Amino acid sequence: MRAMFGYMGKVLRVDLTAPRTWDEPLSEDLLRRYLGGAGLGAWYLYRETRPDTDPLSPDNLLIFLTGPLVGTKVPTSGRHAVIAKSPLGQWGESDSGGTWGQMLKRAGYDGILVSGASVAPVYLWVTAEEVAIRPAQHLWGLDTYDVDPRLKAETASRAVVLAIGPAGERLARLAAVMNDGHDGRAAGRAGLGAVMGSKRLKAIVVFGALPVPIAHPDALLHTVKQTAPVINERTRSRRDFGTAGGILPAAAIGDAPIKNWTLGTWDRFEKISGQRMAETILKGKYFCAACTIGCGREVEVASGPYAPVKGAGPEYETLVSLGSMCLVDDLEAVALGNELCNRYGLDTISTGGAIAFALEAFERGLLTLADTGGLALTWGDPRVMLTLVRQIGLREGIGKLLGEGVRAAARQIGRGAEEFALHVRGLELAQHDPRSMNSLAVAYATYPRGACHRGCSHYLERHGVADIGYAKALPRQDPAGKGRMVAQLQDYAGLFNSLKVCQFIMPGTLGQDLVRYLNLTTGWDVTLEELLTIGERASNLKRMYNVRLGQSRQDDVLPRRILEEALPDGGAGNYLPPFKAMLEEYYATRGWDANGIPTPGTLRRLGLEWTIPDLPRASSPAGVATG
Amino acid sequence: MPQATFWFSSPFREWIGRRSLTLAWAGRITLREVWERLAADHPRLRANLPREGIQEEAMSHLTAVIVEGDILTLDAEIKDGAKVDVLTPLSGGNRTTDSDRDIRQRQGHEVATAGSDRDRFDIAVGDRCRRSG
Repeated sequence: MRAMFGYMGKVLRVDLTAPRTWDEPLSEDLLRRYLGGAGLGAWYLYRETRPDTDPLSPDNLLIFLTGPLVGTKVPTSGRHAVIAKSPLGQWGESDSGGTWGQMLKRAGYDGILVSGASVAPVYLWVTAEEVAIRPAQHLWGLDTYDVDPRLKAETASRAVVLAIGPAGERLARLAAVMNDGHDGRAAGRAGLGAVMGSKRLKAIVVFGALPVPIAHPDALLHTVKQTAPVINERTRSRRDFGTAGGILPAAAIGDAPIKNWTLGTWDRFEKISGQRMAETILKGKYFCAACTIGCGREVEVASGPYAPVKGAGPEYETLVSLGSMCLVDDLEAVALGNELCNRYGLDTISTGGAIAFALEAFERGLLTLADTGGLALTWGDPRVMLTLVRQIGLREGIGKLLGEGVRAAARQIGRGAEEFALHVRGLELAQHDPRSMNSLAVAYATYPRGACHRGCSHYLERHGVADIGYAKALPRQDPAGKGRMVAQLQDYAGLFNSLKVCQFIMPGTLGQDLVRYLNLTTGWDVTLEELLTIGERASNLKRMYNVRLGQSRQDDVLPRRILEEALPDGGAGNYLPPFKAMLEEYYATRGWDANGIPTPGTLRRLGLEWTIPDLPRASSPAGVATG
Repeated sequence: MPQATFWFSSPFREWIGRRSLTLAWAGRITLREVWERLAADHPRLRANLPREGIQEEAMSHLTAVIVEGDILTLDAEIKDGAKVDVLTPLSGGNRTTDSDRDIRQRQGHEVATAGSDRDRFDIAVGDRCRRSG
């Protein structure tokens, strides 16, 4: 049998109900069609869950996958994907950096697939020599920072811990899957921490020292040495200021939301910017495995009302969600909010969205002091923001409701609360405004996990990606070509998510670079065209996962506030995205019908004919859904 | 004589030595010409420009220059009385041209980012890479 390069050649299967574990080989044919990460995860999840699978039941499959470049010297190739049916009700996908993915691969596994559920809390200990399901009752309730050293003491000092916090244990739909302890890396989105909690799986601890087999190691190293300097130069601002360096320009063009998406300007952005962080609380930069960029922030707040904070610092999304979305301009308070989210295991984007929603509900009188335990939910008060983070993380007080996410909270509150609960498919919007960059309207509406800014990398519209057929920049508020662009960029971004390479190398990377990395690692002879087809296949399989659940065009919608309430001041310039035209162009580019359903021809072309029986019997055009 | 006010975020304010300045010109001036004038007057800025020089794509990874919500291209004309924000870039873009091949010819060179920490090309695979800021 031909040796397999770039992969360890097997996944670890874990049945927590039995309980038992076993190794399962991976076929190279399967890997060439799906690569790894989210693409391969789509294949597993589609086949091993059913439309009626309860996301928080033992029937759900919780998947952790690396990719072929993980464990190599390819820049930023240290990521891993977490995949399951989301507790929000559909395709669930998130990913994280740090060192856990690389260590898992060095333990001899390309991934771990967890089915069933344990009766009592457990953790998984994985090395090349040993796999064990161990009791974790004594760890249940610990936050992710505190559990990290405890688990290292029980296993190995150089082991890497992936864990949930109290939010995941208590099944909050905002719960993240965290890794690397105080370094605070998060697979934040889509509530997958709750899936892990439903299985009573507190943590997965991995350690390994196996080399990843590389087909052409010298040539790969040579290529990395050629490409890394370009990447480093093009990502300099991220290194100097983190993703938070994007706050000031995002604010200037109206991309960063303010006060639950109701204001166009806010004169406090500089106080929560990456520049201010660099001048004050920044203590160092964090590099994930194999990273040469170093966008991660290490901060310390040693004194004052929000001390102590020490470890991972807030990124752009967190600074906006806990900052401008709530009108909180205190950087140290946001840093503490970030640490609390990390410790409890919360998605900072959704948590900030839920808090901003609650603030508006209180302002409108839909929540009262009786609902909040006497806490006046006022805009701009750091202590209110921090109290709500704690209540959501521990599922106490009003946090129990908010931890369900804004969709569920609005339904329970009623009386028009849905009007200002901003989400797509139940997932709170990321901190980028489609009224500023209109491609986001289609990207948010169509991405299978919900309102996701990572599925498309909308900033690419300012540059184009020449070698994937999208050659020139498109004006940010001109709809022409945006539907097509979003489809192309979703497929392209999906490649990064399947290879498990960070999208932040995009400024220094061509599609052809991905081809070279992959072929030199695996020994394959994949072309860029084939690679883009793999990305398209993954996009369509995720779509079919949701179609099988009954989703269609009626679910490809945006909140009314985004489509109908223009912001008269600020960089968005009183603009509303013409959603319908862009969406229809997107469907046409994808080879989907007017109802947003992939056609049999499209599925056959992509080798997904086995999903055709799951198409709805009569797919008819729907009306224009805008709200 | 027309003039405009430029407000600089870090790191540009360190490179230029001031938080803002007013620039006057005769006739018309483009953003490219503004950069050329600034680079001529401020050695630290000049040292930190992309190695390709003042070129559209390379500059877009260094900075976002914004007037009233619009991101200016290098050929954009600066209007009299404009208030111009010179900021760090948005969250990055993508390489679009093969001109970067020129950069790659300099294999193994040190990634020079003068004015900030110089991040030596040194990928330590297998270990946590921590570097102090």
